[in-house]
Amino acid sequence: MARTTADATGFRFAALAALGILVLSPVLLILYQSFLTGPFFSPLSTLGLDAYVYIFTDSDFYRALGTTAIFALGTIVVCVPLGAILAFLLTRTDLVGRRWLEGVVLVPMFLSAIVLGFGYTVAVGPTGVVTLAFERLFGFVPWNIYGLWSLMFISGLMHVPHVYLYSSAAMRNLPGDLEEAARTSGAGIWTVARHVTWPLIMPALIFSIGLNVMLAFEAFGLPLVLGDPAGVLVLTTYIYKLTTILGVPSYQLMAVVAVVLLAIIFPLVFIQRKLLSRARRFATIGGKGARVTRIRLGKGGQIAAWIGIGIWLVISIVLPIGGIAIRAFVDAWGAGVNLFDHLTLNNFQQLFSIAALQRGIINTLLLSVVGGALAVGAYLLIALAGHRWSGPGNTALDYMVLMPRALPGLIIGLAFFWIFLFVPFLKPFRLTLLSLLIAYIIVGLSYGLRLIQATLMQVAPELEESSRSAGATIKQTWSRIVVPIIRPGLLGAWIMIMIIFLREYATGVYLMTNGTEVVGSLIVSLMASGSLDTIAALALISVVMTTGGLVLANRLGGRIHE
Amino acid sequence: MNDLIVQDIHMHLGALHVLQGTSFTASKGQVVALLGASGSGKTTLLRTIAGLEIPSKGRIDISGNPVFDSSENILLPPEQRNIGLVFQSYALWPHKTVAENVAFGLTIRGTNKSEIGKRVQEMLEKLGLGHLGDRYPFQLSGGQQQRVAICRALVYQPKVILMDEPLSNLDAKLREEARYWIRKLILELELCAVMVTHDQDEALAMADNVLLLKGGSIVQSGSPLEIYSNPKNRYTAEFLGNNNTLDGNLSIDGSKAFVSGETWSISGVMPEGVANANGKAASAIVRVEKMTIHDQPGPNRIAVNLDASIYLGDHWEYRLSAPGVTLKAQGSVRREPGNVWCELPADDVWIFSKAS
Repeated sequence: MARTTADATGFRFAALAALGILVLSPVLLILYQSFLTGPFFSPLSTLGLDAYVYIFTDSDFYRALGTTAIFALGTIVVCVPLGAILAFLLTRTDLVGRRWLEGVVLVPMFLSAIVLGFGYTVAVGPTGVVTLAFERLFGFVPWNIYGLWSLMFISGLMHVPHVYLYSSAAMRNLPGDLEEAARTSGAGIWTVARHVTWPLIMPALIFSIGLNVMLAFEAFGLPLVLGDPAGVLVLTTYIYKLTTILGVPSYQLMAVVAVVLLAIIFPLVFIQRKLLSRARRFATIGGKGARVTRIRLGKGGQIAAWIGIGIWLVISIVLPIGGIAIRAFVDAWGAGVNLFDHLTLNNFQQLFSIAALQRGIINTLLLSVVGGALAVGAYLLIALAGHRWSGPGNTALDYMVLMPRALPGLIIGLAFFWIFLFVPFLKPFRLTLLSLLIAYIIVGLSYGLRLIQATLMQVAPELEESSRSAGATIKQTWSRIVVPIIRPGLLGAWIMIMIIFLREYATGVYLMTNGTEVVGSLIVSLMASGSLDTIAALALISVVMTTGGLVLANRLGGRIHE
Repeated sequence: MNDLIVQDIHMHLGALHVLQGTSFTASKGQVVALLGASGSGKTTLLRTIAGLEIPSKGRIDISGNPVFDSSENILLPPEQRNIGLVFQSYALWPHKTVAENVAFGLTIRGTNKSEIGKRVQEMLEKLGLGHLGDRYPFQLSGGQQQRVAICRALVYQPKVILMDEPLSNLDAKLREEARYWIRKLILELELCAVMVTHDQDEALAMADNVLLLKGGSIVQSGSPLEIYSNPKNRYTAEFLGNNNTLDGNLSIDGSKAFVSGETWSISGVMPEGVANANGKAASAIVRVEKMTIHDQPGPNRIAVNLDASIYLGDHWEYRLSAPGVTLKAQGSVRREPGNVWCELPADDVWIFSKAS
């Protein structure tokens, strides 16, 4: 229905403009930089295609591009079937302990990839605690975690929750009566599966394939930790390497690769959007939330399912986290070392004696708790600007929100680093947490906004209309009716954003500087210098903080979805 | 003076012309019912008055001030129209107590605290909710919620109160009670009320003026008595009441009009005027309660077969049939199946030629 007078138009357009500046300026700056012959701040730089020529004739670039594609494919091959099976087991069978599992299976999604990657190296790397134990027992080690194969395998396991999330939603929403109708009209269970269940779930699976391709193209932490030592480069790590390859800041080359990444991911984002609306259409067909009749697994089935899930949980959670936990409390590590002789708290003491690390922890907490709240405030303003606003403005807002989805955190961080160098009056802020906060707000934008929009949609229009007709202006209605009603949703969004900001590591890689260190990015930079003790302590702190956030979210019933 | 003037309101939704030049007026101490089937545009019309929808053309005056005028580019947002609006869902704010819900309109208007407390309490007591001020909406029954919604819409003393299906969420018993006390309250406070309903009983019982809408325009308006017993067109005749329809051919004999079937012929009035359309297809419509059953033939009686008597508690319903016709009639006694005559009083039979 055509809604009421286009009120608060001034506010809405102001929000749209602010968002436009925040979202478009990094993209435009990257584009501009890619067409320069040198760094944008150098007076010697001129317009030219040199950077494109360099990249497109660099064999390493093509290798990285090809590797990224294979890496994405491998990730999907692992995570999609596993995620779908997991979703099926948890939503459609009588698997024992499924309630408990529902919470646990999402955990890998919320751990930072750099922390997990580090966890794998200390657990099952060449001198990892598990590797050494295995070698002592059997005399050989059948695995090597460095290389494309293990990278794909581990990345696949890590992304199982993303697939699980969407396919379980589809399976849960699948109305039992549709299947029952097919059963009663004479179809056997397999015919039902093929003709009813499968077509209804397929949109969700296709959607998760798209999502994971996107995530694989944006992945940075795992390829850096597990691929780089074996010389395996993907596009993001290729950009990272470009920083150091030439000795001088080769911004134009990094910009070109960023443009390539954008050109690949951007169409995917839009296809995703289309798919999601289609998937939703499918999901809303079902009339009643009829109780699903759960398939009985039987004793053998239960055991087999639990073994499978157990292996997955061990590999994707227990191994890396356990590795970190052990490594953080010992000071030496290697063949023939008895860990118990080396138990120590020194790693943490060291952490607190180095100012930069100390600041990193404080900054991370500040950014996620205070910054998270500010981010939710910003998202709320944007969501309100688009709330019940029809017309081209809202469409523009919609697309603008999608834009950052196509930008890996690494590149958003890089672009904002440039912006803070480029815009004269912003320069002083580069050295403050504000620069990181703004970049983080953009990184979390589409996720955070979706959380808030979802709660806003739950406010029935009459509640607003009755306020208007009782004499309140649209802003009074927002501040006295709408926002108070969605307060619980805002709290949930705050915690989810907090977790997102806690685990973020890529954004700060370029942006952080002396005084604005954050834990995740510190780990990335420490990776190069190789102080394992410190990294382990930092990684453990990161895990503890994320766990705290998850517990809090669980307590408050925060809705977990990406 | 008319507190509400709605003039030639047009509205489009995409290609759909949902309101096609609707006009009406209402004054204080009067209830206007917008009656119609779903999709007739009645709720849209109410929402244009509230300012929640924007018409493409027309003019609306509330208490003598234009709140919308397409020719002068006047468009007041809902909050400046000084109206009370009661929603079908009541739309009580879940995060506010009953008293806070009711106080909202006064708070917005900057009324001072003690005055607000006093007026809210008075209003709540007037509707028998005096003891519920501290409760939250979800702690109330449906009937109580509805009264809170009415309190909320009335406490700042708007001149015009708009109600969108105010009774449809109540159960049948409560609904009949509510019809009565809401009307009483409106008359007592001398409000100008507009209500939307799809329930003809509700419209007839509560309104002083009923507007029957169809496809975005008013097909007939008038007092309940007038619109029920004096329909001007076929749609109005068929929309209201329980009806029998007899299809046949029209014949005009002087000032009298007849509709005839294979074995029957009855006379009636032609509300749309006597058309010179001898032999054209036409329908005779008569309210079920006007039909009577007899054992002998007589004027305007049709020989029918009584197929069954159905017991409905307070009366019996007879199912009647003649070649090409099935009819219903009512009576107070059980009748055995067989041949009877049913009388359709000529003054109560409305004949409409098929074209209309």
